[in-house]
Amino acid sequence: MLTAGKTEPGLGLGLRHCHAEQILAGEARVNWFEAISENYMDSGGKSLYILRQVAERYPVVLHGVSMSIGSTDPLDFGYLRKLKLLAAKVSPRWLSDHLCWTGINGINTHDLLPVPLTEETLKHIAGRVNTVQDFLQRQLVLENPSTYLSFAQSTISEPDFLRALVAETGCALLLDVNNVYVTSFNADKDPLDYLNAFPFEHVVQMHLAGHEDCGTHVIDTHDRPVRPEVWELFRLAWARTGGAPTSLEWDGDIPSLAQCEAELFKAQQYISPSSEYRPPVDVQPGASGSVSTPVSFMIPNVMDNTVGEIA
Amino acid sequence: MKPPISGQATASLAGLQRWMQEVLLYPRLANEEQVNNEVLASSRLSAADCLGVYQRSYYARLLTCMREQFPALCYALGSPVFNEFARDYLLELPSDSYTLYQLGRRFPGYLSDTRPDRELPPNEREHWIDFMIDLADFEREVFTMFDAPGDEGKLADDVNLADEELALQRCFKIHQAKFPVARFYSLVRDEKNPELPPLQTSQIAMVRVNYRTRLIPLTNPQYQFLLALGRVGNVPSAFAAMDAVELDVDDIRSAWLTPEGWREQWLASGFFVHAAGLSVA
Ligand SMILES: [Fe+2]
Repeated sequence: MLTAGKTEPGLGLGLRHCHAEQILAGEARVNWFEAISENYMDSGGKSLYILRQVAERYPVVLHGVSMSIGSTDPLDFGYLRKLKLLAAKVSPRWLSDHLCWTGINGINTHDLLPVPLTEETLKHIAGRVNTVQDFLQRQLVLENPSTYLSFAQSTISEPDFLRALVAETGCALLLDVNNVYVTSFNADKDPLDYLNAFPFEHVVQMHLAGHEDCGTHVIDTHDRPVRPEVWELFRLAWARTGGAPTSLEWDGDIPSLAQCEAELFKAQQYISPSSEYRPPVDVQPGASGSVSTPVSFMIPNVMDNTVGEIA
Repeated sequence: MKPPISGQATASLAGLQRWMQEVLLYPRLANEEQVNNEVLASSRLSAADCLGVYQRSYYARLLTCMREQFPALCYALGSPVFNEFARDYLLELPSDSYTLYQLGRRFPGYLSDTRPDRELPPNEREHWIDFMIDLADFEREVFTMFDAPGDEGKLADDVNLADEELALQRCFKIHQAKFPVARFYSLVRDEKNPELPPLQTSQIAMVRVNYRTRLIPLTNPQYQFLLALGRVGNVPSAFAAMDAVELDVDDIRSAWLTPEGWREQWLASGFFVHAAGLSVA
């Protein structure tokens, strides 16, 4: 079985349609790219063409949003087959998805919904992770999601849940530092306690992203710079993971490639072997009404990709 | 859509997921007592408010995707009306695919099946509704061209190829509508603020070359010829099929062969590949 390795350290960026031309023109300065699996699995057109080109020049990893590993629906083997085929085409360093469910009864909500953290859920998901890993013939990497609610029936903390899942399946972890902040804030928990309990030894990748502070809660909007408090958590996580490859997710109001890179490269200020957590200064809450789990960045601008002799 | 179940047992993981999906898709079914049983309040938000983050985001995020998949229809209807139609659609036919590219797949059919004047004979129905359905249908077709299998790098452009050697490339479609939808779509793209067009049959070809989709207006004979070509697979047989649509074969053949005629134009526009087994080295 292929296992995710830590041999490709450094800073990467989420691959987005709007940056493709510049990346293919050789203007990117990042070390690697993370591609959303579902955007390429069915592509016989431009999306797959771009990913193949990128994969020829840079290390890539595949990041999925629809495996629905926590769902009580049966696993979708049609989906897994396509994922396996895509992996064969672009040879990703590893392949990840989220600790979540996306729907049941054949419905996809296109959200990353939380699971109750119980022994029952652990057993259910561990069984499915094993099946998926056997089918894909590679290690699965799972990410801690952003959550906005806590279930009354949960009995296990998320770090402990993930640690047990790794122990039972041999899967690896993607630590989203921003999600740690979002989930902890919304659950009245201290993100430092979360990190202190986290099984860093199994982390093969980290995510950075921006969130919106709505005062009473925070929303993982991926549409703005990384917040200072998240950078501080990153400082700690970088040191504890021994410098796990880290990528920036920017999915709404996506700025230029250069601006995304500038945001990502701020990470260098927080990377040092003797990293020590420094409490951040207070930040002002923004407006509420934002949408969690932005997905519209996955829809290509097809209209601008048409030419007509008609108008 | 099957009627939602309420007040179900949530003790199991399956039960909890049934409940949560139900209150996500149908927020009005959320009963306060059950929400308080399942979800913990935070120090700043009630249990219902925590759940509300998911409920609000569900439709908002998918409506954004629908607007992006049907930008011309959204322009024609205006965002508020478009959102209403799209919301009803998502309520009736929630996403059934792992990919968002399929989100709008059933929208044109849904609009057609639920039009308020569907009981009337076709000629008594509202024109603007016909237009909306035509436009939705067209936009879905254009959208699927983006990632459909194609023949980039394999297109035939050599005018010396024999007719027998030509086959339509994979990422090619012809489209007929009761309204000039492609023209309307292009005007929206070019920010020309078009008015709703009058009833007028339009026929176009969509062809993808170098991963760009080109919209090319067709005359009726061109449309009929390409329709036949798509069906029978080769040029000589397509000529033979012209009788059936009451077109003069000789006229068609001459339009095809004439210098700068259909044949040359369409070769240059990337309509063709070498027919299977006959490819020229
Ligand atoms: Fe993430």
